[in-house]
Amino acid sequence: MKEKETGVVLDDNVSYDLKELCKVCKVKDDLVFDMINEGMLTPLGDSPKSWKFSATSIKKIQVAVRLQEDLGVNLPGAALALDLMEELEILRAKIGGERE
Amino acid sequence: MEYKDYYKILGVAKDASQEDIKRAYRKLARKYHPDVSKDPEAELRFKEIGEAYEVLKDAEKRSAYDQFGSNWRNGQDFKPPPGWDFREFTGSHRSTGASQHGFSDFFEALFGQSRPRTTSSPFSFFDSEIIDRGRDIRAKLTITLEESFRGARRTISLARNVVHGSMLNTETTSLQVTIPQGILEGQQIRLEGQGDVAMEAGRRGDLFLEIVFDSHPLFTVSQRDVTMTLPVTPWEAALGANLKVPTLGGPVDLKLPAGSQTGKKLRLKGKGLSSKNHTGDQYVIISVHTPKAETDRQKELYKEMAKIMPFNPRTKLGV
Repeated sequence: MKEKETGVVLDDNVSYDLKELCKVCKVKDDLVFDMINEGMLTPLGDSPKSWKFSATSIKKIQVAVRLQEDLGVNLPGAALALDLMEELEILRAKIGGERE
Repeated sequence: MEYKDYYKILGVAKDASQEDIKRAYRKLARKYHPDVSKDPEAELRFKEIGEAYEVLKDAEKRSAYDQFGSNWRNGQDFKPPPGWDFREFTGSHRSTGASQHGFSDFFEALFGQSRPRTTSSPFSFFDSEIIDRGRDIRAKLTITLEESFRGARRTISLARNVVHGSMLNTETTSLQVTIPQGILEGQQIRLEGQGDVAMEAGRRGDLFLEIVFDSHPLFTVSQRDVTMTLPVTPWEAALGANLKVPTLGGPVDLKLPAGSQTGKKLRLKGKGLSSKNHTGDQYVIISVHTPKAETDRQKELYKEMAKIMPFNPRTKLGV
């Protein structure tokens, strides 16, 4: 069976409101609020009703959920891991450039 | 099926204490978590580690497993002994979040099928609206820089479950995925309704494909920009030259200005990973290569250069 699929690229061309974000990630909005308070997510807009989340929020939520479930870290721990991994990415790109 | 040496997988001795086993598992789980590790084998290792821990952390499963004795080697062909029945214990185990599939054939032959993750997680949930949906599947999709540069179509084959009467089976299906121009590493493509299906029938979960770039012989990538090093001769660097330079879209002409030095960075606008709304550039870093002086005539030429254009590149070093 071969199906043709286009799919949605989760880049900065798409954004989600709170309800859509929870649905795509299959999480409760509590987690989104907690992640905002932890500084892990920064929605645009000033009230939950008008919040808009970038598509990068999706991956952050997914990774935060998996790190908590699989490694037993709490949310601040997951936040720290996410920050450090981001930094690591930047350093890896730099090293890759220098090796040339 | 292949015998799995769970002690070896966790790197512990056969007589390791439950505490030792837990410690070894935790350490390895952090190391090989697919969201953390860049190791291409991470997903596989993480799954193996989880499976080993599932057996060794449980006193009953562990002693059942230990009955096979210690003469088995990892990967050896194995058949469970006749009359083996451990299936009554199957209720509790489930594979961990980051590992896609259930446990190995070896595990399932001994302890029964693993249950796919359900709603028991404290972090994710299915509200009334989506309770009849199956699990999301995530997979890595490795593409070349050229595929991102031009955009591409890829046929992927995907193992996902399907309802057959009252059974859940695995089927392999083929999906054609459009990779848009300028997609970046780490970005995901979400294919709604292409994940697993739930036993309660209903809609499929989603498929998330995470983009990984294959390493490229010429280019390194930082966000949308690609960088390469271009070797040039001393006379090209000194006098300037028109040079052919490779780009992801094929060779282009580059004007090298006179007086260029090693490390000089030139930009080819729009030759990086550009998308509809964003431009990526290519950076060309100049590297001056000097030819070897082998013959007398060649050595003489260098000496003449030294005479005609005295030059000390170390004036700033204070030596």
